[in-house]
Amino acid sequence: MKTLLALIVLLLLALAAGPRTHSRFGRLSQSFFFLGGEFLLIGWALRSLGILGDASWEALRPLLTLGLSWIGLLLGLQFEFRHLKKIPLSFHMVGLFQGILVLVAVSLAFYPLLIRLFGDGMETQAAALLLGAAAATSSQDILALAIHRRRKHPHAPVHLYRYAAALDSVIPVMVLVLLFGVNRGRSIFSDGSPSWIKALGWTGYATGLGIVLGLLFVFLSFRLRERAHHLLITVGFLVFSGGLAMALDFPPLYVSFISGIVLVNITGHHNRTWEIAVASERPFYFILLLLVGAGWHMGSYWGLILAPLFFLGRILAKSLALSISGRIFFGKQLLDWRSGLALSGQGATAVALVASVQLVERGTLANTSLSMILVAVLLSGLFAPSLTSEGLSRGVRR
Amino acid sequence: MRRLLTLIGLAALAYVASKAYLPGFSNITGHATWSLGFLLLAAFTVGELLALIRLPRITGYLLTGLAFGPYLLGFVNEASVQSLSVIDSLALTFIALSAGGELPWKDIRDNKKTIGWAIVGLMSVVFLGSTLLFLGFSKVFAFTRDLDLRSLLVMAAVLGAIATARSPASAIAIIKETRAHGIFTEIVLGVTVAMDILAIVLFALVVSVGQAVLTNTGMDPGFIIGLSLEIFSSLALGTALGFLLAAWLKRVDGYHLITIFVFAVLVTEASHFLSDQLESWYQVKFHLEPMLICIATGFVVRNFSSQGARFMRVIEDGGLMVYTLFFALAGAALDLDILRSTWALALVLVLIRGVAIQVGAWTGMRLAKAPDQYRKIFGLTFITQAGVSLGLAKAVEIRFPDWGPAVATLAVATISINQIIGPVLFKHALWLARETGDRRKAEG
Repeated sequence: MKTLLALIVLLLLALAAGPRTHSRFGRLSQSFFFLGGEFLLIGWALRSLGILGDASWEALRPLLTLGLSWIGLLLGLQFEFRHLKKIPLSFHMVGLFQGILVLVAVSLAFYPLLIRLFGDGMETQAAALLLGAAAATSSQDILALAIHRRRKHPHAPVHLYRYAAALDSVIPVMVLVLLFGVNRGRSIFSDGSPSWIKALGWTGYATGLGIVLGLLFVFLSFRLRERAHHLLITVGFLVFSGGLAMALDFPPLYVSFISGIVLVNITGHHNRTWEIAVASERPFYFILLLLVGAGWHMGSYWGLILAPLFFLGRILAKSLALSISGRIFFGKQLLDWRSGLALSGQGATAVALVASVQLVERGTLANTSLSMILVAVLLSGLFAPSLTSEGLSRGVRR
Repeated sequence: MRRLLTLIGLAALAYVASKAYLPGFSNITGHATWSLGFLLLAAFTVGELLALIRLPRITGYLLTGLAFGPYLLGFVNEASVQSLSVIDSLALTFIALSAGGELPWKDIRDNKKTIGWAIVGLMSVVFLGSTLLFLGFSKVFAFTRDLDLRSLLVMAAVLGAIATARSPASAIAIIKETRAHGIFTEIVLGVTVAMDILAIVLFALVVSVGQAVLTNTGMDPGFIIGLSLEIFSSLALGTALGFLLAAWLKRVDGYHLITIFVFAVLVTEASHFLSDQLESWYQVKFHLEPMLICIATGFVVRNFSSQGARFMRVIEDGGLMVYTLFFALAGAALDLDILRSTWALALVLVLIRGVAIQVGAWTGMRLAKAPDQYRKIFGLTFITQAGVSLGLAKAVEIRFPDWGPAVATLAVATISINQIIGPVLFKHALWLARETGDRRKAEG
C-alpha cells in the first residue's frame, strides 16, 4: 500500500515535470528546475518525512534499475562507429584525454584527504576513484541549454564540446564496472579477496553479457513495424537487462551501455528504439532523480563540508584539462584556458553513477562520497549554465 | 526461425539468472525485475510465433507464463510472481479503462435490443443450465455424493453463478489483436462488459441466499442494498472521473500514456484506501470497485469528450504491453498442481458450461431475431474466464468454509482450462463472423 502510494507521488511529480517548458523563476533557478534538481531534494524530503520508507524504496528498486538501463542505453546509442569515423582523431583524443586528466587529478587530490578522514584501504581508493569518475563526466543537457541560450557563439568549437561531453561519459561507466568488480566479484573468484586485477576479469564478463543482450535486442527488434511493438520490446529489454545485471551483480548502466553500442552499430542510428528512448527520457530521468534523492544518506558530515570543494576543484580541473588536451592534440594553444568551463555541468551520468553505487553499497565512506557528488550536482544545476556560457564565449584563441 | 532462436536465447539467459545465486540484497529485486522483463519479451515472442499458425497471441502469452512459471520450468519463481501481483492489479484497471473506451455509445444504442436479449439468454440459461446440469451429475462426483440436498443446491447455484462470469480483458485483447470491427464485435463486447457486472451481482445474491438457506436464518437485505450502492457509487464516480481525466488529457501536452498509468494506480489505491479507512474508523464495509470505476471512466472519455480519439490512441500504444504482461502473469500464476488433481472433474464442468453457453447464446440471438450465423457462433465468444471468475472462486472459499475450498479448487481448475481454450474459440468466431482485419481485407 505504502509502496504504491509512494509510486503515485513519484509518478505525479514526474508527470508534472514532464511537459514543463518554461518557468516563472529567475534564470539561475530556472536552469536548476529545468535540470530537475528539485526532484533530488523532493526525493530526499519524501524519505525524511517517512512518506517513502525503507521498504517502499526497496520495492521501487526495479524502477531505479529501469532508469539506469535507460540512461545506459541512451549513452551507448551515441556510439555509432560509422559516425565516429567521420570525427577528426584529435577530437576523440581531446574528448577522452580531458576526461582522464580530470579523473586522475580529482582522484589524487581527494585520496589523501579521504585517507586522513577515513583511513587507508581499498574502500578509500574506490571512493577517490568514484569522485574522480563523477568529476570526469560532463552534462550534455547543461551544454545544450547554454548553446540554446547563447544562439551565436562564433568562436566556440561547439562540436568539440558536444563530442567531449558525450565521450567523457564512458569514463564513469568504465570506473563503475571496475568498482562493481572489486566490490561484488569476490564471491565469484576463487580466493574471495577483492583486487583491481580481478575486477578487470569481472569487466570482461559484464561486457560479454552486454554484447549478448545487445544481439538479443537486435533479434527482438528486427522487422518490427508498429510503435506499440517497439515500445514493448524496448521497455521489456531494459527491465530484463537491468534485472539480469542486478541478479548477476553487474552494473545495469554498463551492461545496457554495451548493448546500446551493439544495437546502434548493427541497426544504425535512425532506429525506433532511439526515438522511444529519447521521447521518454525526461520522466524517467526525473523518477530516477526522485529515487536517488530518496536513497540519499548523508554519511559523514564531512560530505557536506567537502562538497563545495569538490564542485570548485572539478571546475578548475575541467578548465585546465580541456586546455592542456587541446594544446597536446591540436599542436598549439588553440583553446583559451577558460574554454573548459563549457564542460562544467554535471548531470545524468553523475546521478546514474550515484544510483548504481546506491544499489550495492551503503557504508559511511560510500555515503559521504555520494553526498559530495549529489551536492555538486545541485550546485551545478544552479551555477553551471552561466559558467558554461562563459566557456562558450571564450572559445578558440584568435 | 529467427523468433525461435530469440526465444531460445532469452530462455538460456533466464535459466542462467534463475540458477545464479550471489549473496547480497540486489538479487531479490534483481530476480523479480528480470522475471518481469523476461515474461514481457518471451510472451511477445511466443505470441508472434503462435500468430504464424493463426492461434491467438494471448494464448501464447498464457502458455509462456505457464511454461516458464513456478509449476513447470520454474525460471520465474513463486516469490517473483507474488511480488509482481502489484503490476497485475494495475494492468487490470488499465484494461478496464480500455474496456470502457472500446464501447462506442452509438453502436450500443443501435444494437441495444440484441445486446439486451443476448444478456437475458446467456445469464438465465448459463446460470440455470449449469446449476441443473451440475445437480444432475452430482452423484457421479465423489466429493458431492454424501452432501445433503440443501448444500448441494447452494453449491450448484454458486458454481452456476461463477459460470456466468467471463473475461473482458481477453475479449479486448483478441479484438485488438485481430483488429476486428463490426456489429458482431460490438455486440460481443457490450454483452461481455455488462455480464461481468451482472455476474458479480448474481454471485452476491446467490451467496446471500445460500448462506441464509444453510444457516436457517433470514436473508440479509442490507447485503444486497450495500452491493447495489457500491456498484452505483463506483459507476457514478467513474463517470465524474471520466470528465476530469478528459480535461486533464486536454491540458497535458504529451506524456499521455504516463497520465493513464497514473490514473490507473490512483484509482486502484484510492479505492482500497477508502475501503480500509471506512472499515477501520466506522466499521462500515463499503468497497468501491476499481474495475467498474475505470470502465465508466473509459466510456465517458471515449464517448462524451473531445479527447476520445487521443485517449484510444494512447490506450492502443500501452495496451499491448499491458495485455502481454497481464496474461503472461496469469499463466505463471495458474496452479498446475490443482489442475493435475482435478482435471477430469474440471473437464466435465467445462463441458457443462460450454453446452449452457451455446444454448444461452443461441436463445438470446433467437429472441433478438439476429441473423442465423450469429446464433451459431455467438456462444464461442463467451468461453474464456479470468480475473473476476478467480476472484469469485476465492470468495466461495471464504464464505462457505465447509465445502468452499473444494469448490474453489474445482472452479480454479475449470477457469484454467477455459482460459486456454477460450481465446482460440473467440478468435475463430470473429473470423467466422467476417469481422477480423485480415478477413475484411481479403474480402475487400
